[in-house]
Amino acid sequence: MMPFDRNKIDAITTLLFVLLLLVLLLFGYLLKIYKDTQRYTHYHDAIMELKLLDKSFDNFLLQKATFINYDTINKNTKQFENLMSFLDSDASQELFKSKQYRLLLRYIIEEYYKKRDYIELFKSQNASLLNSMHYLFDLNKVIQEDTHLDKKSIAVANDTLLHLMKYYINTYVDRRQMQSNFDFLEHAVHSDNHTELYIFLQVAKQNITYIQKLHRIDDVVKQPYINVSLENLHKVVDRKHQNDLNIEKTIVLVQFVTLLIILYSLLVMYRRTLRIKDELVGFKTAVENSDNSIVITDANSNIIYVNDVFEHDTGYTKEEVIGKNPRILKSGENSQEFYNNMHETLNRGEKWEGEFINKRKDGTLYYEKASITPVYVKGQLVKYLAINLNITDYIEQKREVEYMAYHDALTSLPNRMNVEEYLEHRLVVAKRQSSRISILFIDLDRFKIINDTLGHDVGDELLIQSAKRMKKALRESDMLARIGGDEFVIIIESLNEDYSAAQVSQKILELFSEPITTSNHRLNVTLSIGIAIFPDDGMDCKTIFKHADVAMYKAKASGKNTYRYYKKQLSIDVHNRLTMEQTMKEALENREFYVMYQPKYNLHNKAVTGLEALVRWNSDTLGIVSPVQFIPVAEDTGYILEIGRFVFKQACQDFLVFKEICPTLRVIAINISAIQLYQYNFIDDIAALTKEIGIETQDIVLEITESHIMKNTKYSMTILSRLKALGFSISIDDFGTGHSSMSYLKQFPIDELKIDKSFVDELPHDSNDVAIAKAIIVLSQSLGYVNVAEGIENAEQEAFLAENGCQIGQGYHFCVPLIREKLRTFLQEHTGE
Amino acid sequence: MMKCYIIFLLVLTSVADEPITPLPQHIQVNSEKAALGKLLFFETLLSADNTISCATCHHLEEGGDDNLKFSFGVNGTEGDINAPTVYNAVFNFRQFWNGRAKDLEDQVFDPIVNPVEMNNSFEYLIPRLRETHYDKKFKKIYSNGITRKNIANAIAEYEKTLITPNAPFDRFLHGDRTAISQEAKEGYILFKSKGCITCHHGINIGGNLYNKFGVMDDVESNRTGRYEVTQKEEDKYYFKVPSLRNVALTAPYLHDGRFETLDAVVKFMAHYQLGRVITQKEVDNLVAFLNTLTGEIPVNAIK
Repeated sequence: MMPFDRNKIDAITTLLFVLLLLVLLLFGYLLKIYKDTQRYTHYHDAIMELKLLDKSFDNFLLQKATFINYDTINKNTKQFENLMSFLDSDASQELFKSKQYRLLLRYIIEEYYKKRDYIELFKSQNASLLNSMHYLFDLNKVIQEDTHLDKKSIAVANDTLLHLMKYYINTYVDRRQMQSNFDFLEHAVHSDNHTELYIFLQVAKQNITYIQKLHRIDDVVKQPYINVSLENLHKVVDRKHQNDLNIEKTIVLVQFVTLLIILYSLLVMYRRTLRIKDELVGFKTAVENSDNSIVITDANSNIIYVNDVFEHDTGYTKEEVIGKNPRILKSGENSQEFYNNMHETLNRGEKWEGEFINKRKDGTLYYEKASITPVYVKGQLVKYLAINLNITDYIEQKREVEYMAYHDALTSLPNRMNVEEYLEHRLVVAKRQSSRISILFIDLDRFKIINDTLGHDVGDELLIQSAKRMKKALRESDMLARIGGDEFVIIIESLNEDYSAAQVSQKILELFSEPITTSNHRLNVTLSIGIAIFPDDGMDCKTIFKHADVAMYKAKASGKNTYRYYKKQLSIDVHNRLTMEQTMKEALENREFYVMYQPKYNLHNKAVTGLEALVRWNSDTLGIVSPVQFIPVAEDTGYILEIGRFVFKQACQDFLVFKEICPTLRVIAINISAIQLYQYNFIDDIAALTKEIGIETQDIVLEITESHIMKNTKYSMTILSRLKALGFSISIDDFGTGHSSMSYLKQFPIDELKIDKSFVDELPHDSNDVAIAKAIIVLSQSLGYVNVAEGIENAEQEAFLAENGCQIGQGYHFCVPLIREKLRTFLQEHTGE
Repeated sequence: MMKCYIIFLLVLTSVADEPITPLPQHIQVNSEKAALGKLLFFETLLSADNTISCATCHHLEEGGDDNLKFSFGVNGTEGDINAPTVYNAVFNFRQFWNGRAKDLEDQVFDPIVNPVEMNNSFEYLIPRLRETHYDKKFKKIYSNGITRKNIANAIAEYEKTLITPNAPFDRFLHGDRTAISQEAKEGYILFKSKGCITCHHGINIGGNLYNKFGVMDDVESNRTGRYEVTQKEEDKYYFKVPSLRNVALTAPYLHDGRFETLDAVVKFMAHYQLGRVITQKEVDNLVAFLNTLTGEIPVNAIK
């Protein structure tokens, strides 16, 4: 794991290799020495044999007076020559490369040739002499037995033979004696004329010469030239061998010492490796017994080691994970960014630390504080080491603590701190979005008495039940919190004005009208609710809470079991609205709604061209209610669908009648609420209605408020196109008050633009209104729309509009909205004029 | 006197080992080389005019020589020395009458280049041989193919197979007392006691020393023997003592072939070499002995 480890291993391999080489070298060299020694022995033996042979030659030459089988000496000379030619061979000369060696050999060969010549001479002489001596012996025998010869002669012949034989053998002869013997015998031969004695004398004389000749060879034997030279040659060979041996010994010694050094180095390294091994065993034990789970991967992030803790933490066994990528533990809870960050850090070669949310084998999650270290050896990434501490227990405890800190232990609802933090946060959002937030403070009436009389257990149970009940009245997005004893807070974020808070309150109060059943008691519980609205009742959490609390006390003061807004007017308004809602349901049943019509007329010839149907409510309980008041309520409650359908049907039916009266009358304009427009079956419904009533769709203008269609342009476009395709005309009501986009305006299938009353009111005196009115008229003309001015209340306005090209007008100046009967009269009169 | 007598008994008659040793049945040879040598031995290409082979003068069916006083070389030229037998030549300590070749291999060269024998030259011979089947045969045995030395080596190797064992006398030596006649036995005793043995002994019964032609008395000779080689006065008339094996088959005798019969040459030898007077009876016995030295022709080697 440490980089120096790898180096050591490489060094050991190299050393082992060198060691092997050296051993082979040493072995080879020892073999060479062995061969050299063998070769030397060869030379040594050859020289020794030559010496022996030389000695045998000398012995041969001394073997006088003996019969010798010459085969032996021939064999020896041949052997001598063979050995010499071995010593004189090119290979031998090459080996010794010594002048002395060469000279000695030359000398020996020369001396040998001389000796060989003597040997040949000896062979011949000895053979002949032996025969002659034998012949003399035979002759002597004849002489000795010859009775005719005188005794003296016989004795002398015998003596002569004896001397000759002595001479032959011992190399000494008494020459004077021999001479006198020869002289005597000569004389005897002459006197006796004895043949044998004559031959004896001749042969004896000849033999003396032969023996002399033979004895000369003895001198050769005395000359030890060959032997000495061989001795010297032996020394030369020996010296050469000793020299070679010394060099070889030195080389072997050097090799051996090198071998020892390498062995020692290996031993040192081995001991170091052992020590490292011990350390590693120690480390391994530490790793195995660590509280941390430890994972080691290779450079490609494949797991190569995990410890027992890992198995325990993850539920995977070692066998299951070895070779796998650690991403098998990935739970998906950590973001991709988190992993990217980790990889970037590791790729930079830096240590990374962080917390993983990982997945066990059984799919459950666990938390790990991890530190991952890339391990580099010689600049090469080889491993990753991950040390992870399982912190799941810690995280869970922390969460619990956090939960407890932010939640009420009894009801598990968010507590005061929580709700305050939440509100704080939501207020920021609301400010940015200019939305509104309602805060409801709820207090259980007379809870203290219940608690004190029935005990805390009942009180606690009551609180739990109450919380459950309140929750029922809430949407998912609303927040319910318990902020103390019997106090609850609800936070409602809604686009729906301030009224929704009242609706929720009302609902809760209704839910509590049922008694709450605890284990032993049925309790009638009432609540007091205080409502504060952001931003009207305060811009910060503290203020709003305070004001909600105030509102709650107002509710208590006004007799409990009710709710109050912080602002008195709101309470009233809301109350009215609630009343209206309730009565509106009955009003539909009681047919309290009815339709009035206001004519649209040609500004130039004052002919009535169309009618706008307007809904009116004459409530039995509330009296006449302004559309401004009840239309938003009808839209919120959805009654508008029913009301709208009623108006559409009524207006269409009436129009057929009015058309009969007034020939210039061409269209009936009916207001369509956005709620109707977005109802899924709206188009089918009105198409069916027109058929039922028998009115042409071309006769109907659908007036839609500008702001409505601009809310969802894409959907509006679809709906309007379909209506247009059915034959309806589309009129944009209150044009100029919404935020029309010119580009959309151009795309919408529009037939008519209505200039809002607010722009008409100050005509022709207010320059802004004049400019706007003129602009709308020009716009209408250029886009080919019919344009209608609403709310014309005097002749001045009418004249201005007419002058500026507005085509159609509508307003009190011409005619107020009229009920059906009165309009009929008006139309008759107007047409009649 | 007694002392002298004892010495002579030791010297001549009571030699513990027999002075003559029998021939072996065969000697170790390289059979491939010997086979090649055999071809060459009968090869007339060796001579300048393709007429003469070794076998021309060394008749292997007979005594290994040509029974002529002098042999004829190319174009009928006559030699000036008697052709010695090729049989058992391997056991001679030198080759040729004057011993100028130290062994068989050394001997091969002379007859090939000798003008009165094959009259050839190796410069001429070797390229001719290379054109024949010999090229392949030599290369098979010798890495350097046909050379002067290799030709000699092969022929010498063949000549080693030309030995004649199982002569009656060899069988006698091996213990077969009936192998030779009583006469021959007496001849052998004479051979030793007369002193013939001093020169004719050993495995080849001679052929292992030089000696003078005419020891006891001067004799006429056209050739001078060793002198021709050494040019030393004392070597004059010294010839290699010839082997007596198969002597009955190798007439005529002596280096100049001057005698046709064994009888004549024995008498000559007794006079000139031993200086002895010899009876006819002794001569007959000696000739009877010499006739027992004829060995068996190696039939397989000469087929």
